[in-house]
Amino acid sequence: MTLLQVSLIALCFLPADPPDFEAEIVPLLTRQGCNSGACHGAAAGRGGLHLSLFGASPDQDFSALAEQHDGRRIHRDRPERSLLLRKPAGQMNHGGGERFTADSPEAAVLLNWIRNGLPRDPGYRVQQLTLSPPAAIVKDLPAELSFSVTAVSESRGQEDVTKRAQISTTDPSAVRMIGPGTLQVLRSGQHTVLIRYLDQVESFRIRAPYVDTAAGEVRTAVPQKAAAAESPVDDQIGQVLQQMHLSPAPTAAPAVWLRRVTLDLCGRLPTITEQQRFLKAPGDDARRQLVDTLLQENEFVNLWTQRFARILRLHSLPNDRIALQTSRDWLKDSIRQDRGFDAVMQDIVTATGDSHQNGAAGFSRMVPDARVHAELVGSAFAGIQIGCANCHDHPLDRWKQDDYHGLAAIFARLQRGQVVQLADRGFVTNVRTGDPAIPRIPGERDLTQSGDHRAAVSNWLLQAPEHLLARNLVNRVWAFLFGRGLVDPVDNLSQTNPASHPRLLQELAEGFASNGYRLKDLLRTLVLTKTYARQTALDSNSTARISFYAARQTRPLEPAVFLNCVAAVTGVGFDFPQHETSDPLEIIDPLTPAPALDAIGRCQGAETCDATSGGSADSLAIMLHRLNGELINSRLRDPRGRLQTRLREQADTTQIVAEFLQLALCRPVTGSELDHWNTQLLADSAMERQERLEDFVWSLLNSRSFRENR
Amino acid sequence: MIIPSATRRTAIQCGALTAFGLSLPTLLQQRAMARQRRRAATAKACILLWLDGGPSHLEMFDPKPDAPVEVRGPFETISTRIPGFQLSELMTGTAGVAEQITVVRSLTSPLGEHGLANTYLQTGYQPSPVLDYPGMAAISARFRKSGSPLPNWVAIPNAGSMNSGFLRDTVQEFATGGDPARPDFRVPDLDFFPQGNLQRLQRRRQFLSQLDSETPNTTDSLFDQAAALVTSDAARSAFSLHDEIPQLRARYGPKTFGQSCLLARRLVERGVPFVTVNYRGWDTHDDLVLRLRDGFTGANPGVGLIPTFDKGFSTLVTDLQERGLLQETLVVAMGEFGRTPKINTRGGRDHWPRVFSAVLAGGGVPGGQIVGASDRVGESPAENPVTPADLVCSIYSLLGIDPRAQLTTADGRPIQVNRDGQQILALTGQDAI
Repeated sequence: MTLLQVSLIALCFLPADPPDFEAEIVPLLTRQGCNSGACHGAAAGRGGLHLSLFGASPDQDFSALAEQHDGRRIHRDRPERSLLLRKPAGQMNHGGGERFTADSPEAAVLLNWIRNGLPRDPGYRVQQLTLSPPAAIVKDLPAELSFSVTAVSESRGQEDVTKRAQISTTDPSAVRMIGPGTLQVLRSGQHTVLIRYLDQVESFRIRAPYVDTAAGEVRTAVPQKAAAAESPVDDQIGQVLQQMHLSPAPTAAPAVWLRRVTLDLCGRLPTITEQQRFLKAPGDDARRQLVDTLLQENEFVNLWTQRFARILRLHSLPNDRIALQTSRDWLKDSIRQDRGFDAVMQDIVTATGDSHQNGAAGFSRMVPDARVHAELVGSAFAGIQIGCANCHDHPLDRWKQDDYHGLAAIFARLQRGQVVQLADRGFVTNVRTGDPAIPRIPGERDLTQSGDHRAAVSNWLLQAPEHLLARNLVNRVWAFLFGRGLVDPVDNLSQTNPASHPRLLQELAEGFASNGYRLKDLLRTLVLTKTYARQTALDSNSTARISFYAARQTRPLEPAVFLNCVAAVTGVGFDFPQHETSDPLEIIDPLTPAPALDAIGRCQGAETCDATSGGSADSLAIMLHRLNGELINSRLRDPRGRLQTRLREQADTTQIVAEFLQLALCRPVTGSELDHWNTQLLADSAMERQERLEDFVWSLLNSRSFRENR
Repeated sequence: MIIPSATRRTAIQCGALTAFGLSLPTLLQQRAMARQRRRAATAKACILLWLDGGPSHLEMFDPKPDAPVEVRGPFETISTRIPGFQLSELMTGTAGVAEQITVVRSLTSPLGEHGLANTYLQTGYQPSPVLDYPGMAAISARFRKSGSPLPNWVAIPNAGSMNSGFLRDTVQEFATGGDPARPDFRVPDLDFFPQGNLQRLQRRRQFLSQLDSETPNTTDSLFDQAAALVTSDAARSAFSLHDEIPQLRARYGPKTFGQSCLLARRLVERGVPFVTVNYRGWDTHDDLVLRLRDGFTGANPGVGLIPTFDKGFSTLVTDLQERGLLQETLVVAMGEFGRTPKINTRGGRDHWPRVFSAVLAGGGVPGGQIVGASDRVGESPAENPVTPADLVCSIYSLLGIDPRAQLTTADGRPIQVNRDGQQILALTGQDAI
């Protein structure tokens, strides 16, 4: 194609107003991928041209395109000869290939901009991006739908930027882009479309109901409107189920609920006495009372201390055993007393002093420097990955480089010896400017260079309406109880990773905050819902039903909880001399070996493990250990153990079987079940009977029914 | 000098396409030739040496002897018997097997964070929030079986950074555990429990499925795999490093990595189709001399990361060749990205995904080749940029796995084994698909 042809065709697309650099050219570069991290947006640019990532800095980009190298990228006399046009249009050798054709609207906009003398609007700042409609429900797939994107700015007021924004789908097999603001929805489920315009990112949620049996859902009558007295949880979950045409699973049997809630709150199995007492009258009052009792237990304190210690990255320090113990005891006391988590966080963020005396101070010693400290505060207290903004503005969230380095700067003066204190000096370098970073509350305001601003960080985490701390904690606690977060993964709360039930998360967070950030209250609220009490889906094709909480997800026991339950059933405990405890729930330090726990997949590094379960997936190595290792086998043969004791007492098989079944699976045992096992365990000799019983208990402890919380 | 074979020469020319400014007709002609000599996959097994953390391309496979010192780094460059095929001076063993290996010098990726890059390099898919893709090892285990009680995928010594993605219910790795370099090394729990026997094993299996009868698909495949291993002497002996002669063990070097390579060879020899050797510690942000060469202060000769790798890798290639296994065993060594061209203030290099190297040997890959090139400072690809998706696509082809084959996720979504990659002609000898 000749240049003349190019310009003629391009002319046909000329819009009426000359485009401004900030409002049209930068978004165009984003849309075409020019300023992405893989291309000119990389920290060192590409092919000699460096643009700011996703157009974060229009000034720098204007200079790069229009002024650098004496303006060689733009040909003011013959605009159509500009490199800015010819390279991406594939008319010259371009590492990124042809991004658009010479006769495309993109080429026309660029040409028009150059012809008009490179107009700019340097004050252009988008204050708000709104989507209309904000979300959509579609029926009858495949379905087409449209939405528009409006940007509000001071200099240009309100304008439709649907064509300028970059619109991308996270799942092309579910949602296909047809044109600007027009999509085709191909699959049932909840889908997210991301809209990026300059430094703003929004997500557009599409719900497409399940209409047939494809998702394992037999379409039944749409559930009744929730009764007025329902909890906000059941209300919100119910509304979405209705929208998705999913019917909730029936309520689980009382015995199942009892095992579930005891494991979830205390990491142990209900005893036979507890089972009998509860099953006599398993009504609402009994459930409330039971939960209150569980929340007072030592096991509750140990389990949740262990979980929060993992989130806060508590670990041993070289040549200092006391700091970890002090911090652990402090955390334990806080959980036992149900101190508000606002105060717990505040203490941890602002503490100074001797970490052998003040447990809160020790948490600052769990990170090597100010940057990692900022990342830990972000992840543990806000569930955000602010570390991504180290080298460039966060590509998937609102955090800027200045936010990251500014937050780090607040912790720069901390000395992390036994005595945690503020030094007179200390700074981190903002890699964007090369200068010492200005202390800053992320997304909000710069602070003075001097002074201790840690209290401001704490206030930022608490302030409404964002409720950073509350949203994060509610989401993490939800994940412990339901198998995954309302936002998943739980350490990635960002604008591009919206919650499955945004209103529910917001309401829970607000409720949690206004209730004084009480963990016990939150747990009580959640475990007493109908959603929590539903039956578990055991078949593998219930993904959709599980993801909308129509049925519960079965979850493997955390490694420490598994050991705790094995000890309870076999009657033979553990010992962890290096941790100075015999209770698996009391093990905190990931750096000190705990052989029985490590052998079944305890997280020792952070990388390969699930944040919530604290363990790796089941594997052949773990299976071999359960089969051949001493973990279970030695507990079956231990003379002090339950099985050998019963054999010595000459208990009959029925009695032994009933006791073990009830201990391990926590449900009433039927007569036919006992008959079955009586037959299976029939033996000619005492020796063989013993082996058969050992194999029975082994199988029980290895069954999915035992190893899972259902 | 050994004269390169015709196949190899053609491949070298393909790799050097832009450098010699070949015209389009020539390219098409070569494609046609390539189509004619389309090779059948010969690799029966793959050993992936995963250098976790991001190995420095500049200190290993892509040295820059003519670059300024802050790029060149602390080490010299050595030649191999292949003209133009240079390596870092720390790679003497590897230089000796240059005729058997192919170095890809133009790998390029946008992802410079460990987790994301790990996923991309091992799956060929950029990470997605909606789906966990399975890595190459998991895909291999899905399609290629050991044909014996041995697992389809073994990780030595520990599980690596990649899981099975959406195949996790059907495909799992077996991590040997332990340290193969220790004299008392043995894979734990392979022997029967005390008083265990076949009858009790079967009984446990039977009781287990009776107890889980309410769960659909309760066949506990992990139990069956474990039982098969325990009851097969032949399978268990595959893990017995002590059966190797001491001289050969010494050639692999005394470190965990070298002995892991030896164990990997034992396993592929006995039919395990995919073995991952996980070698951690390559995230060398500081002191390249200490970490890459010396290992500890004052070590002479150095026992750092690169000499350890060099010894294990080059011995593995030689050992496989001596046993006639190289043609059917693909060895791949790589990490998730390279390192920054300029040495940082701490004498280290930071993450650099824009250009880095991977090395392949055996499995039907013509040796003595360099595919692609980085620019003069090792900053960007200068020729034939290759994406991780391309590399993974090519590895599948070499293993006889159709890269466009379809898998299905638990929720019924069809997913291609490899979606974004094109074959690297110089590796597979196959035309683009």
